[in-house]
Amino acid sequence: MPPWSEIFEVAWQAALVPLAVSGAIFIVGYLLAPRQPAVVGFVAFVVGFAAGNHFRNVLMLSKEPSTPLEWLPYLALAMGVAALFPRWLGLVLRLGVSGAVAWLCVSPRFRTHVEWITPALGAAIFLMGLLLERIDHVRSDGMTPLALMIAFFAASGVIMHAHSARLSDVATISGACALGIAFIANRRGSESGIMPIAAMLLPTLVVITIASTDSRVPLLSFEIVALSPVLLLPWLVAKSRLLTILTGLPFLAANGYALAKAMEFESLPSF
Amino acid sequence: MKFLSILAVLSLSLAVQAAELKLTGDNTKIEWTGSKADGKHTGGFKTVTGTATTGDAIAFKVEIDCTSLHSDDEKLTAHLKAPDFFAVKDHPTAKFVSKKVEKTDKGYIVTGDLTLLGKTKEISFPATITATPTSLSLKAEFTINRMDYGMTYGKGKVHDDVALKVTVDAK
Repeated sequence: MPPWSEIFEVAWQAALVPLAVSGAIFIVGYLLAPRQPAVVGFVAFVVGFAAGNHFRNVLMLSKEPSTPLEWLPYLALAMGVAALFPRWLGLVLRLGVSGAVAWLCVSPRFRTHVEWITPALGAAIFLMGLLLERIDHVRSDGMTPLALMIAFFAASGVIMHAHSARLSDVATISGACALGIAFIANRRGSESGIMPIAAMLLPTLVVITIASTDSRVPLLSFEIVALSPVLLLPWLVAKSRLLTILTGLPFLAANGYALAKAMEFESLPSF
Repeated sequence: MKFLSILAVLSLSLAVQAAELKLTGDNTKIEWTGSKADGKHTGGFKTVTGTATTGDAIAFKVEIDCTSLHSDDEKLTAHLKAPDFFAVKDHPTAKFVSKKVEKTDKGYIVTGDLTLLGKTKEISFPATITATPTSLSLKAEFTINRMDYGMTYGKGKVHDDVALKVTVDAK
């Protein structure tokens, strides 16, 4: 167990700051451009993340990106921009960025060992992005970004047990941004606009962690947190509060199970 | 007299002859001490390969297997190997190639390129070196700034400077 001072510091810098900043940007953006949730959500997420990153120093814009972690911020921005384009052009661009993520964020060594990982990651990013965006659009009640927050926080815990506080921070900041935006989206009855970027970050972070760490965390924990948002599929039709809770339970249980398994097999890293 | 001349020439040629000595984890120790506000940790690298050239132009070429990193805490070792610090799966080796080894009044100054996390930076450090045509020993203690190599995680908590202690005893 890390010292309480460390826990408070992470809670403040990686959770509260990005939550507040992304929420504030989202509400201002919503008031200025209520019909552009994709743009507003993207900007709110990026600025919120940048605020958390300012304190935690977890991702840098490298002038010569070469490793998966160095490519990640550029590709996240590219996905956010690609998602702003409408219809077929947007789909083609998103497909292209999904492919680029799957290629650049999987190290050549890991790709050689696990040949299917590149196409699988690319497909997961593209299809999960479309699914979550559709659910978020249909519901427009903030529940989808709220669920993404849960998945990111579960991923953060699993990744922390795999000994990478840095990658864990990336997941925590992403989850906090999703929560800040979810709260405002719920109040305003708006879609969040963050699904393409969130659906790209979640599985990519998990794959980078698997490829770059050594731990006893079961592979199943990683797989569950990366793909758990697929369990939100019933939310396309289940819109009442009761049905939302009932159909959301498997998603919640899956993430809880993944985290519990990680905690069972591995302890937290030392500093 | 002729015999003495031959002996003198032979001795001189031996004195300037450069031998290339193999460096391994057995004869080359690279240890580090990382510190933070409330304590410090020590460790090193078990696997080191390379060469040391003796003679007039002493030189070193060392490759460090970062996957062989060890520390005084098993959990810390795993954390140090992760992308937070050494990212050993993306950057399995570090490298030091000397560019010049200068003799001074107080010993030697070794200057060379240290490549860590894929980033190369020139460093200089004082060293005590004893070289013969067939052996070389070196002792050096110095610090490097991990930020210079993009090892930025934990800034403000884990100190930027990492102390290194290098001992070579090659024959």
